[in-house]
Amino acid sequence: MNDGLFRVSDLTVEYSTRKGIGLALDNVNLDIREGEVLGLVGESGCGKTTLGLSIMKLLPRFGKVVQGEILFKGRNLLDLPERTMNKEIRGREIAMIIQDPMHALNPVFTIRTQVTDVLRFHKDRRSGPHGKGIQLRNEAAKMLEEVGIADPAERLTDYPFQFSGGMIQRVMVAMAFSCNPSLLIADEPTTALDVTIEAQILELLKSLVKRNRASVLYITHDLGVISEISDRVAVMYAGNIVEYADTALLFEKPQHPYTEALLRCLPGAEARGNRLGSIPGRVPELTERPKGCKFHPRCPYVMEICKEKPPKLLEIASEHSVACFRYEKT
Amino acid sequence: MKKKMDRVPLVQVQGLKTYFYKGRGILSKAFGKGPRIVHAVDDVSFTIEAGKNFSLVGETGCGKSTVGRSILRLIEPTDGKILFEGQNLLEFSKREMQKFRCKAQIVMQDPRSSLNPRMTAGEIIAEPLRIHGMKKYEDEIQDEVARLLETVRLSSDDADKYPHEFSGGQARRIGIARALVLRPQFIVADELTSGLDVSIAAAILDLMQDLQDEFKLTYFWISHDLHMVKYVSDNIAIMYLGKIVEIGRAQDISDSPLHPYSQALFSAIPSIKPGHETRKIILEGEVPSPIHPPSGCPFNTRCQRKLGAICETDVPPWQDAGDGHRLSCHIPLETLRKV
Amino acid sequence: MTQEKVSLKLPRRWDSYKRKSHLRIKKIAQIIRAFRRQPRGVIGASIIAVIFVCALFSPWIAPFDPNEQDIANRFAGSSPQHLLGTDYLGRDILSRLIYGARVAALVSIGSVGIAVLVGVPLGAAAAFNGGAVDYIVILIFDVIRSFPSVIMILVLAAIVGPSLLNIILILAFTSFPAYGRVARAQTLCVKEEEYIMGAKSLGATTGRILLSHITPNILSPIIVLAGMDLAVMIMWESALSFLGLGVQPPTASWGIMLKQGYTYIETAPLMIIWPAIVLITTMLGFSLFAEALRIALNPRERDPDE
Repeated sequence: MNDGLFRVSDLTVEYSTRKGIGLALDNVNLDIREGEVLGLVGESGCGKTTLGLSIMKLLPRFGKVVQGEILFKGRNLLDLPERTMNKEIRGREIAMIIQDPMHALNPVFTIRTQVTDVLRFHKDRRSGPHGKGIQLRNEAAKMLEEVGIADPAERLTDYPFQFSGGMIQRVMVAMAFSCNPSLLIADEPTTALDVTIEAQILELLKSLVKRNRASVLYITHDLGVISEISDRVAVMYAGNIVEYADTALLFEKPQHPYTEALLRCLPGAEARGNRLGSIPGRVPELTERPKGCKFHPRCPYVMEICKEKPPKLLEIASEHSVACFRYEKT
Repeated sequence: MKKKMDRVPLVQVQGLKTYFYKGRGILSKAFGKGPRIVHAVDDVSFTIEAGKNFSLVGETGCGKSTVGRSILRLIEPTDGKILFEGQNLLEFSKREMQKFRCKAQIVMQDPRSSLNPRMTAGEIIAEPLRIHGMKKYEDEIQDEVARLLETVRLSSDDADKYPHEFSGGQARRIGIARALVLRPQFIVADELTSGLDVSIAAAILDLMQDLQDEFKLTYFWISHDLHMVKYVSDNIAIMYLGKIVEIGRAQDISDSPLHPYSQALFSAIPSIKPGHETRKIILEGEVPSPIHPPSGCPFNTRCQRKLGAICETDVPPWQDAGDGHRLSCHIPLETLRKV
Repeated sequence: MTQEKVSLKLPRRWDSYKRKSHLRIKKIAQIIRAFRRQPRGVIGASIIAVIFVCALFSPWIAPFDPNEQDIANRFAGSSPQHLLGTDYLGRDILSRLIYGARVAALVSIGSVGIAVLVGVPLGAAAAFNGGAVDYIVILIFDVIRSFPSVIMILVLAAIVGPSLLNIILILAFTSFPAYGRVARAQTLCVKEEEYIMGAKSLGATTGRILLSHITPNILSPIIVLAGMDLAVMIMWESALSFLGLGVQPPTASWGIMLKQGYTYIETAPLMIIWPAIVLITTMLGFSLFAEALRIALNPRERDPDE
């Protein structure tokens, strides 16, 4: 089962907070194939950002991987020492784009410094010219041009505050693709941006992904963006993956009660005047998660067994898996 | 629901201008350059009927929040008329403004910074009552606070909590409760659902609808979420760089947006039905700075259907597409209708 | 839309009063609890408590009269009778330290108190109103601050003459601009916060905004400053008394004790060591206390999540 680019198996991550210990990720299983975009969607507190951080091994100090494997090109990332992670994986094989463009770059260094930093750090391991000042600068200018920034050579000497949010995200995309990674983790890259800028960035991502044949783990809470950009989708709730399917299938025939409810909440789905009817109850706190299926207190189809055991992710059709007892044929 | 036709509309805004003056350094002053003027709101006019939902849509920096605050005189407008129930707000005395405050309220965008972090939720909600001296005794005030918390679907135990103890959605509800205390007729809702999870945003929208039915409220929505705006509004106005570029009934605008900017905006929304790959209009470049707005049509620097030099020199005329649907563009209507 | 009818139950005055005070007590209990959770708070508070108890109850705590001389027993070391020994006139050092706490407490609280009560409202009002008022107030602050404090204090002390009251007033005068400046800077920040606009939208008057909204939110750095200043003022008192410009003998103050101990430093070092230790400990205590208080008063830092 080690073909395929990337696989997460039974990943469980624990957070220790003042109020107690809770599982941010609970037995998460997913895989990403070469050249595909996997969307990871869920509301706040579901653990999607934690998953991204776990892959990069950048969990905060109160987080700990308790069990599981993260297999990337055959290697378990969790076993790799920090040094190897830094030299080979981060920024090189797996790159990450984060959410808030206004805080993504160091405000006291120029764009040129920060972009060439990435190049310089990985230069020995890339095939190509060794970085000398001018060569690095030209490469940086080329990168900016590729992501559609006008007057790239002049813009290099600017500081981050002189760039708009959309432009900073483009710089982040440039930095992420600079070393031709095989996997890109994009954590809500367009959430803070306007709709038209978001459209531009999504187009940019799509074209670069196609050109580099990279895979993407696209994390977001925006179902619209997911349907536009992903090939497959994983829906997360309170640390579990509850549904995992081909994008078109998910939107046409959602199987998990949470997914159904989520799709109904979208204002685009209802005509004016009808109530949206949100999901009753609240997402449980990290430390107060219920036994059994985490969604059962809010589920309209709850059964006795839901309160006792957590359901497993089962494949119910080709390219469609659900974690729900309604579909278990016991 | 056709009410009396001769009723004066609740809110009429005519020629609203709000400019901010940013000073210049000494050297620039010495060279005779005048102050930098941010044309945040540049000649905006619209009408809102009682009981209706009016939405102002646009992207960051277009000036929509400034419009919302200007019409309540939270920011002093530079020019124009704001008629509330037929009377010009800008001519109100201090006392009249105090009375007006009871009739029109705002729910602000960022719940974290719009609530005083050192006051409990109960104190925040009780404050309007204390300001206007509406209830005399303490337990009456506490009862009213409890009642309002229940109205926004929070528990009365939450009255003793501080804003940072609430989640984003809950903090927004406190803002809504505070706006309701004085039983206003008119509420400005500034980006009510941005940053909220889908299910929580849906709950807030349902709440707003219930409140509107119960208290006969008129809403002025400010948002950049086009899905929400389509769902909620009776009328929509689209803003770009301080000007309204298109205005009309929600149905007309969302079914057939005519202004090139509106067309780009609506095509950029990610659609929920996959396989419905709408041809996206991707705009070039960035929004120009409001300090130096382009001459002529503000959108001419990025317009995908730019006619020519006329867009740079002449301010585009208003064209009427029928039924209150108007837009400001040089391109003739028939050409615009052919997508 | 008119107000709803008030419920018909007759409002009892003391019921509502009870409810309000109940809430206030809850708030205070929260603050105290947050305080107790911090080790620095406990330590600082204990030290300060000791100092103030000494200051308040000196006649009952001190074993001896601070001015009672016992020439025969002068320069005595520690003994069960004189726990810290005696000074060059045979006076009990411990008792003098305890009475000295009175001077320390009076000077620190008096000067800082006056400085805060004058400086903060001035600075806040200046920032809020802006314009000419702001300009004039800043001018006043800057003029006072431009004098080197050491020289100004010494000169003023020399002019008006040494006495407890004079020290308090001089120190207050030299330090109120600092509070004014801090209050002004904080007000400028807080003024732009959205909740101020929110209060405006509800119809709050300027006075109300200043009192209920701005003041609680600017107090944090002022409290820290005041806490540190309390310690600094005690040090100033000691310095002035050391130079003979402060409290005059025979009044017992730590500064005087330092001065007298200095003369005899080679023969009876304890005369200067004990007051020095007490001084250092007190200043430490105030600093810790101030920091703990700042954290306890801030609802956000009080219960940090993760």
